[in-house]
Amino acid sequence: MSADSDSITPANEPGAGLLTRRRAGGGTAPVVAWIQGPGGRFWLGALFWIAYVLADSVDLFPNARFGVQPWSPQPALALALIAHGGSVYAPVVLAAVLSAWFIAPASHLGGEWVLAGVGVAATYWGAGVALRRWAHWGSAEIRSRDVHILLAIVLGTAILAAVLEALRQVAGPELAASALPLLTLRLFIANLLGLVVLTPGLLQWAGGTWAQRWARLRNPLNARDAMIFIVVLGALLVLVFGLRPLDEFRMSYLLFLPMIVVAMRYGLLGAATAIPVVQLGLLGALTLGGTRAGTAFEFQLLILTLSISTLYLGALSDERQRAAARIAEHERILRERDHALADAQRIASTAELAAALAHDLNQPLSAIGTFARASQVLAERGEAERPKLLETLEQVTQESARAGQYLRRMRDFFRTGTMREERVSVSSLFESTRAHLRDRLVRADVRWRTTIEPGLPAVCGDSVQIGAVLGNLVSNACDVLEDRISWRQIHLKAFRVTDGGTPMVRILVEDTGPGVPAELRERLFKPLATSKPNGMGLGLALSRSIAERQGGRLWFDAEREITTFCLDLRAYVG
Amino acid sequence: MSDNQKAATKLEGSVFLVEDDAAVRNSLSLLLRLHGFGTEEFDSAEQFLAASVRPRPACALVDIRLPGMSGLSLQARMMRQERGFPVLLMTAQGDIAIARTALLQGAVDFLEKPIDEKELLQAVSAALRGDSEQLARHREHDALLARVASLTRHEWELFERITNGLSYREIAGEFGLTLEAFELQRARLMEKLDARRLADLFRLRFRVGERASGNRMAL
Repeated sequence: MSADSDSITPANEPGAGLLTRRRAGGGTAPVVAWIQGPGGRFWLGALFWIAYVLADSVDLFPNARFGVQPWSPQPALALALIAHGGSVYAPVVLAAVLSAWFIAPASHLGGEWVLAGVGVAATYWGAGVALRRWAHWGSAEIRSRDVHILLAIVLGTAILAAVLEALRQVAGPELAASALPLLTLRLFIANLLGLVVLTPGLLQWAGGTWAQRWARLRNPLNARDAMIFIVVLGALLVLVFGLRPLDEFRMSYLLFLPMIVVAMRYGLLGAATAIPVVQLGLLGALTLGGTRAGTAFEFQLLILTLSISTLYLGALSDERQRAAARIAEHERILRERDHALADAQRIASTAELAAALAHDLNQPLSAIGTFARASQVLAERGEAERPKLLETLEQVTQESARAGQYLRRMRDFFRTGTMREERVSVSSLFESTRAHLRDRLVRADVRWRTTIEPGLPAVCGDSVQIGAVLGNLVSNACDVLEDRISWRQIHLKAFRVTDGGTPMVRILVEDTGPGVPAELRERLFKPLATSKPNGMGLGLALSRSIAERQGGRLWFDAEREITTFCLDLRAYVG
Repeated sequence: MSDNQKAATKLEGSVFLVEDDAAVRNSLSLLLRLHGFGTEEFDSAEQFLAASVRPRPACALVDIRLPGMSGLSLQARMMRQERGFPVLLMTAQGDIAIARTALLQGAVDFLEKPIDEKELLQAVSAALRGDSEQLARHREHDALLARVASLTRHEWELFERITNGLSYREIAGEFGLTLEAFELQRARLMEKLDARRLADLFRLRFRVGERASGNRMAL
């Protein structure tokens, strides 16, 4: 591919960055290309340089009166730059370290000076690369493991940088070599504090695109909460430092309160953002009010403890939220599957229902056809067959009534397309069932008994559908008992049960019939299963699906000696 | 119509209706009776099997869907019986799989409800005619067996050797008979077996088969 063809068809270029580079640099100068590279490296590098030099040379809080800088933000800046931008920034870091020392008032120039500068920059570079590699602070899901790694790396960086810096300072004429251990310790603590306070926040805000940063700004940590946080923090600082008679650090535990709230509510991002804010607030309060009893060490320890606890809390809160989101998602998928399954079952049962209805209507229609044909034959034979003819026609009438009855029963089942939730008292349910089937009960000469547990709650569901299910069970019992010579009894019992903690009402329908044949039991609740000459073979299948739609169950209790059907319905609560 | 009636009146026989739906059963029974068939009604396969004496010729008209033992099981059982009668199956569902099973099991016909009168009468007539023919064959066979059974041991041995294709001289030699005496016994054997020609003896042997000879040996 030649440069000419590239410029003619720029759309073929795989990356827009590459295209920009070629246009800007004329395709030759690598330095310009690097400067203008993706993400505006030049500006980021320049910004870092200025920030680093400023942080190193300017005492932000001159009145804190600790004698030393309580914290050093520089290592955090360098670490975050490398971790975010990669090794390409290593020269910038080196340049920043060296120039900061050069600018500093009490600087001492020498060979060790350059050596120490290279060492410090190398430490930052190594730590940044390690952070980039092992801790996933750029990713959306930061876990507490990433916090462990960050703290470990930060600790190492703080030690190394402190030793090198102390050695540099000791090499100068101002300090004696005996000051080395104390100086190292102080520098270490300052470094560590700066790293712990700033690095998480910088990494958090550096990750992602500008649009994502804006969304973060706007969305979780919205202006109102930020305001509340700052006001509360201010009030607490006033409380801690305003109460003169007390030692300020004795009250400092109060500062944990807003930090915990922020970390729990906004996770790691909130924690990482709030930590520097509290740090600044504290330093500001110390600068304004001064300190009397407190030492730099106490202050540093407070901030360290506060920062680390808040970071862990934030990470845990994030993890918990992600777990909750995953569970919610899982539940949503399960629910969708349930719906799909229910739909499939509905379709399947509709098909079964149609087949069953066709079968059941076919019987009387078939009989009607044959009776009608027989009537024709009888009519042709003249007057002598007239009584027989009339009798046959009567049977035609009966059969068409039977067909109508099937249709009506079917319509009753489906009359309430939408289910209602109502309170249905068991005694009235029993009574209406009895009234509904009075003729059948009288014809079959059945003894009717009901037993209801005292204080039984009402059931919950659609009274028409529940009535249809119970009516079907009783009607079945009547059919069986009609053929029975002696002891015809239907006994309805109702009592309380609990099904996995849900209060239910169990209704037993017992009859003194011969029972369900063993070979029929398995397919009892399937459509077309029937032992009755005139049976629809549909009632139990439909009844079960209705009972289940009402949140209940319907089954045949094969264990009991007496024929028993069990119907569980939800108890009405409240 | 009049054709049907004629055909019906010519045929004798009973139709056993096995159907759980009383109305369907009664209506079919009525129609078949009007066309001159005798009918007997059963509301289950079990009840039908329990009825011992069955007039012939006959056929069964069985509903596939029955409480308890199904129509197909009943049919399979009837087909296993010796000298069973034809089974017609009927169903309300146009189920090809069931119909196929039924026909493979040897059902003579398959009727779908609502049942067409013409199809019903044709199917029942054909089944009864088939049963009559089968009965006639059974009777003839029984008669043959009876004749073979009436043979004496000596006569059976002669019959066996003749139909095994031995020459008269060989047979006479074996039993120590003169050729004339053997001729006399052979004529008597043929008379007893109602065989006019020698070929009839061979045909008889073929139809009686090994089983008859086995029976004979057992006697």
